[in-house]
Order: sequence, then C-alpha cells, then structure tokens
Amino acid sequence: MQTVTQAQLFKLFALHLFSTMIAFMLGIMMQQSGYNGPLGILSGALIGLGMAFFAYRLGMRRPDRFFVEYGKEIVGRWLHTPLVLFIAVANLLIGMINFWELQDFLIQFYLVSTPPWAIAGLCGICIAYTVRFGVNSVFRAAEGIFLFSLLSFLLIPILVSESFNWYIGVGLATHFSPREAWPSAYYTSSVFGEMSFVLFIYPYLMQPHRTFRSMSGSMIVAAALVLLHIVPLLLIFGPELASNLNYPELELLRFMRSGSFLETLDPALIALWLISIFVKLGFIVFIISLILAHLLKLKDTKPFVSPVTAFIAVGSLVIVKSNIQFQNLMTGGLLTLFFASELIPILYYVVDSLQAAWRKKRKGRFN
Amino acid sequence: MTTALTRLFKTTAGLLAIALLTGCWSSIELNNRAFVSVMLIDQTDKGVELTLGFPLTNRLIPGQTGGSGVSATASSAQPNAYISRVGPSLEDALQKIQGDVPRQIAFGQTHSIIIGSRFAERGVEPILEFVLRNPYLKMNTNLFLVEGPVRNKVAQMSIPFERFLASVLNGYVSNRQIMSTTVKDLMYSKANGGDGLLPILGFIHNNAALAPGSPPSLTTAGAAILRNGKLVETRLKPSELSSARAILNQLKQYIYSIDSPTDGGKIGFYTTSLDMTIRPALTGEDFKIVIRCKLQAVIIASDSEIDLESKGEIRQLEQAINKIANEGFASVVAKTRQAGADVFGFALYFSVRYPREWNRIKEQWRDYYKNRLEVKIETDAMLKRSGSSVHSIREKFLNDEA
Amino acid sequence: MTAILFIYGLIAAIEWRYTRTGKHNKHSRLLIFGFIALLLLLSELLYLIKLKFQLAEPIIAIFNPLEKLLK
Repeated sequence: MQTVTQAQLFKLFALHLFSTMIAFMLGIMMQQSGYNGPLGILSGALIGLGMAFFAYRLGMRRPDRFFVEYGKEIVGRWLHTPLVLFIAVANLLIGMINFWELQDFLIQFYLVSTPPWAIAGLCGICIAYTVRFGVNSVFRAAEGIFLFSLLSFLLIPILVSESFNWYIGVGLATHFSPREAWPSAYYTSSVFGEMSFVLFIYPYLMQPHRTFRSMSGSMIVAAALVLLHIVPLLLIFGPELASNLNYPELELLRFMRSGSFLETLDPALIALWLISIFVKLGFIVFIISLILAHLLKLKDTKPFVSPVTAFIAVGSLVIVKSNIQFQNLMTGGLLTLFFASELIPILYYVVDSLQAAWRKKRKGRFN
Repeated sequence: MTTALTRLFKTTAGLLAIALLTGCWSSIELNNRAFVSVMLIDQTDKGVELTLGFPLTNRLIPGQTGGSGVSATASSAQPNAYISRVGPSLEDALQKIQGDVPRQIAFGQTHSIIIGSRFAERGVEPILEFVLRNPYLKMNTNLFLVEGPVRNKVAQMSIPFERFLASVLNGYVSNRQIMSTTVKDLMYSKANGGDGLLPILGFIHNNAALAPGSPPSLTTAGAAILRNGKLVETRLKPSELSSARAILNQLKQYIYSIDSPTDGGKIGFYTTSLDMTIRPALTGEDFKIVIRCKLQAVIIASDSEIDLESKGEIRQLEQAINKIANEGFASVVAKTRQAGADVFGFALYFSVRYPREWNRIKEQWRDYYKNRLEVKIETDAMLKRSGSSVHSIREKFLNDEA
Repeated sequence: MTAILFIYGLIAAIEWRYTRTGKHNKHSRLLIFGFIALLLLLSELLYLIKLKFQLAEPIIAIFNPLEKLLK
C-alpha cells in the first residue's frame, strides 16, 4: 500500500499550492490588501501550515488506517458521515471553481469563441484519465512536471525585471498594516490549509513520520514563488493599477519587452500552468473519490473517479452565471467554506486527544 | 474484448480527443488576419476618425523599399494600407473599418498609437479604456502625438530606412531616441492619472535624395503635456524634452556642447551614462522632491584653450555642465508645474514613502504640485575622458594668423 | 442536456466493463451504479435550472455573514 514517497508528496503539495494562487488569486489579494498583500500571503501560508499540522498529528496516530474508516470511532457515526461529506462537497466546489476559472481565463484571452463545455470536457477527460490509474499516477505526474513548472514560474519575474520601479518597494515598509493584510492572510490560509487533506491518504505514504517536513517544504517553496510574483506586480504596476486588473499575472507576462520572441511567449507559459492546475485537480478528485468509496464501504476507488470528474465539469458550467457573481462568491463566502472544511480535522484531533486523555485517566483509576 | 480490439478502441478514442482540440473553435487562418501595426486616432467635425495601418503581406516583395514617394513605385504597389473611418466613438469607427476589410482585424502586433492633437484636447480616456479592456492590446503600447490632422500626414509620408512606419517607431523607442510613454504610464494613480508627456512626431523635408515636392519624413519634435488625460497648451521644445527624458531616466546617450568657462569656446560632450534618482522628502508639513543626477561624459570636441590636463580646469568644466543641466531640469519642471500636470510621477514617490501625509493632500495634488511643492535639483557630472587627443587642434597645430 | 446523458452513459459503460472482472460483488456494483445514477440526476437538474438557480447563491447566503464576521 505504501507507494508514495515523501518527495512526491512535497512536489504535489508545492504544485497544488502555488499553481492556482499565482494564476487566479493574485488579483483578489491586490484588491483586498494592496501593499500588504505579500505580508498577508506570508502569514496566511504559516496559518495554513499550522492547520495542516493538526491533521498531521492526527494521522500519525493511526498511519496505516484510512481516516474515513476510523473517524467514526472518534466522533461517532452520526457526526462523522456528515462531516466527511462536507469535506467532499468542499472539495467538489474547489474543483468546480478552479474549472470555472480555467475556462473563463482561457476563453477570455486565448480561445475566444470556444464554448465553455469544450474546455471543461477536455480538461475533465485529462484529469479523469490520470486519476483513474490510481494514487500513484497523480503523484508521479506531480513529480514529473514539478521542475518544469517551477522553472517557468521562476522565469517570469526575471524576464520582466527591467520594468521594475524599485522605489515602490519602500511602500511595503511604509504601508505596513496587519489590519489591511488580514483578508489576504485569511484567503491564503484557506488555500494553504488544503494540505490538511493529507490526512486521507496516510496509508499510501512511505515514512509517514516525515510528512510534516515535506509539507513545510511545500509551504516554503509555494509561498516564496507566490511572493516572487506578487512583488513584481507591485513594482511594475503599483497597487492602484494592479487592483484594477482582472488577471494581473497575465498582464505581467505581456509586459515583457525583451525582444519580439519572448513577448509572445505567454501561451507557452500558460500551457505549463495548465498542467500544474491539472495536477492539483487530480489530487482533489482523488480525495473525493476516496471519501465516497470508503463511505460506501468499498475498497476500490477507481469507479468513482469518472462520475465525480464529470459532475465537476458539469457543475463548473452552472455554478455561477457571470463573472460578477463569481467575484461575489469568491469574496463573499466560498473561501470561508473551504476554511471550515479544513478546520474539521482539527476538531477530530481535539476530540481524539481528549478521548485519549480520558481513557488514560480511566485506566489509571482502575489500577 | 480482445486486446487488439481494446487497443483499437483506445487509439480511436485518443485520436478523437485530439481532433476535438479546443483551439479549433476559434482558430483563424493566418491568411485571414489583418494585423494592425499602428493606430491613428483623430477628431474631426463628424466624429472620431480611426485609421488603422496594415502591412499588406500580399504586396511584400523582397528588396522593395516601401513607403511612398521614395521611388517611382506606383501607389498600388505600396505595402501599406491605411484604412480610415469616422464614427461617433472609437468602437463604432472600428466596426465600420472591419466592414471594409475582408480579413479579421487583429491587434496582437500593435505597438504604437498615434493621437491627433484635436482628439487629445478632448481627452485620451477612450483610447486608454480601449487598450486596457482589449485582451490583445498590451499596456506597453507606445503613444505619440501629431499636431493637426493625423491621417494624411502619416499615411503619405516617406520612410527611407524601413518598410513600415511601425518599424520606424519601434526603432525610435528601442534606440531610446524618443520619449517613451506607454499606456501604463498614464495610469499609475488617481492623483496624477492621465498626466504625462506625449512625444510629438514632426514632419520635415530632410532627405536630400528626394525630389522636391516629395512628402516629408518623420522626425522627433518635442513633447506635449497631458493633464488629466487632456492636452494642454504648453509644448516642450526638443532641448527641454531631453531634460524631461533625463528625469524619467530614459536618456542614456546625449550629445551637447557648452561654452568653456575659460574663454567661451565651444566644447562638445557625449554623455555615456546618466542616472537619475528621485527621492521624496518631508520637512515638517511641506513636501519636497529631490532630483539627483549623476552623469559621466566624454569630450568629443574642443574649440577652447582650456587645459584638459589640469584638474582644476576639469573641475570648472564639470561645474559648468552641472549648472547647465540644473537649469535645464529646473526649467522643464517649472513648465510642467505651470501647466499643473505631474508628468514625472512624483505622486507615486510621495504615496509610497509618506502614506499618511499623502492621504491628506492627494485630492489636491495637482494644485499642490503647481504651487507648493519644493523642488531641489542637483547634478554631479564627471568627465571621464577627453577623447583621443589632449589639446584642441587649433591650439596645438594651427597658427594664429594676425 | 443529451450530451450530459451521453457522457454519463459512456462512463457507466466503462465502469460496467471494469467491474465485470469479478473483483466486485453484486452489492458493490449496485452501489457504484446507483451513485452514477445519482450524479447523473444531479447534473441534469443543475444544468436544466441553471438560469434560475446557481449553486453560488446558497453558498453566498450561508457563508457571507460568517465571512464578514471573520474579516
């Protein structure tokens, strides 16, 4: 059963964390926090890691059993099932929202008259195909694409560095305001907290005691990369202009003036982003199918992958009717939902610790 | 199912998936695209006049010179087309042009936008809005100004060095011969949004190889000041424009001459490097901006008897340069202050460094810039070399004949 | 709408072939196909009423107050 190495876990989580944050969420960070975006992202990353820590400790107590199975021993069956279903629904929503962001982004800039269902369909097929081969294929895909993706994301700030107005960097210090940074920190922590879903795949991990080291490594790499993108945004556009752009990362890419060849390089970089996003979505689909299979007491997760992916694809077409509603959703509740779903493992950890302490007391009394 | 059948099924499914490539919905044949290389926007009595300059790929012949009026090429062999239409707004004119052109208009290669002065007087916001919202136009598109009606002047000028106007403009920008103002530069902050310098494109007859009566060619001719997106009366002369470009750190190599402090003879210099640092300062309640210039120069000609080996004389020369540079910077800043337009983006420096005090005055920033801002300019010139020879030719080799 | 039906049908066919291999008992297969049917119904439902009801609405309604509190 133990087939996933810690290195693969590190790479998967790193891709999972920075891919959608850089591609889709930088605009919201700029709007909410301006100069304090970097501070918010850094704090949010630490908070997210903190949340995942509890999931790590909980998983370490029973590293060879699936959480969905032993959860009912902790909080009872009538509470466990709804909570785990809630996590599954939250993951479904993550999937749908990411699919929607993907289509909106691609259609708006590159594939202008393509119908959204074509994009949802093809991406769905890719993801379903990957995940259907089992947990190994998702992690191997992450391992394979990690280096390329990292290099491409690192390339962007370097290529636009000649347009930096370095003096704006002073603003990072003079505008320091934790109050202003809090919304970004909150949103970032709901993204980085997705690492707490590692709880579900403990039996697949080799050397489970080193999981926290891998997760910390992922957090550091992802946070560094996101910072390397949001700071150039500030240095080139300034906070007022950057908060007005729908996809600031794309505008950043287009600002490269280093010769006519690289100016139109953006589609090639977009392709690499897409693969990273597929890896993230693959992991999410796998978690959902794992939860559903174990809830229905089935050992095999494979039959659930395709219908779940199809449902996510269809759901992404109907979840919001316009960009405006999407903005309302993102800044008005969705990330709180994700945050709540990541707090659930903490609840289990607390209850489990209390139970263990109580059991020890009882044993002590009988002696 | 046998393995052969399974394999067949899988390969057909794979091929089907490839055939349904999402790009095929919105693919446009390269031959079916008309790439806009330059946009000309002007205001006429009947509305907004939009002219799009297209390179005509069907007329491109290797070795052809391009432009019009250069040789005896008939106008039908010109490799450019400037399609022009008038409409109540930019978008309406664009729709009309698309109706005239048998290909899909594509903006992906547009790097320059030339604005007519009459349009700029009414405000350039429609252009900024258009560029910002269009997914294909980039924010580092360069903006230029032409005095008077744009269309005929630009479409019919002669272009000796390149095939297309866009290449000339791109050449000016990449060689840093012209002020480079992009769409992004006009949008940094609300306090000074729409304030900027637009380089003016002039037309002169400076090519002796052309027959008289040929259309003029392009030249760089000073700059115009935009305030809040609208053109104001003041213009900057080319010499003032050089100082302005220096302040914006766009001037790297520059040739000029000054009168020698010793005997008034002309000494020519070539600036090899020029670094400007602009720093905001706050003394009490008053904002001050400090502009520091460090430049290194090389002497390229000397008509004076100044002794270029003596340190003292060199120092005098450097101070003369400093004085002239300071005067140049001060006069150009004063001119923009008189127009009430913060074209150098000082607002950004203050908003970055002193946010709290900035918030108090940002509503009246232009007024503050015009009347109350203290400006301090320092130049530090360093003469590195005196060229290949030490004394001037006149001094060393020519005799003074009485 | 028919496209969704077609896709789910395709998925059901694939899973039918996969679960025929004797590793799964009758009960599991019933659960799997029941689940596929459930998702099919949900997908069709969401798709048919997509103009009147978006999933985003209840999410915003429930979680917005909480988010306002936390921000």
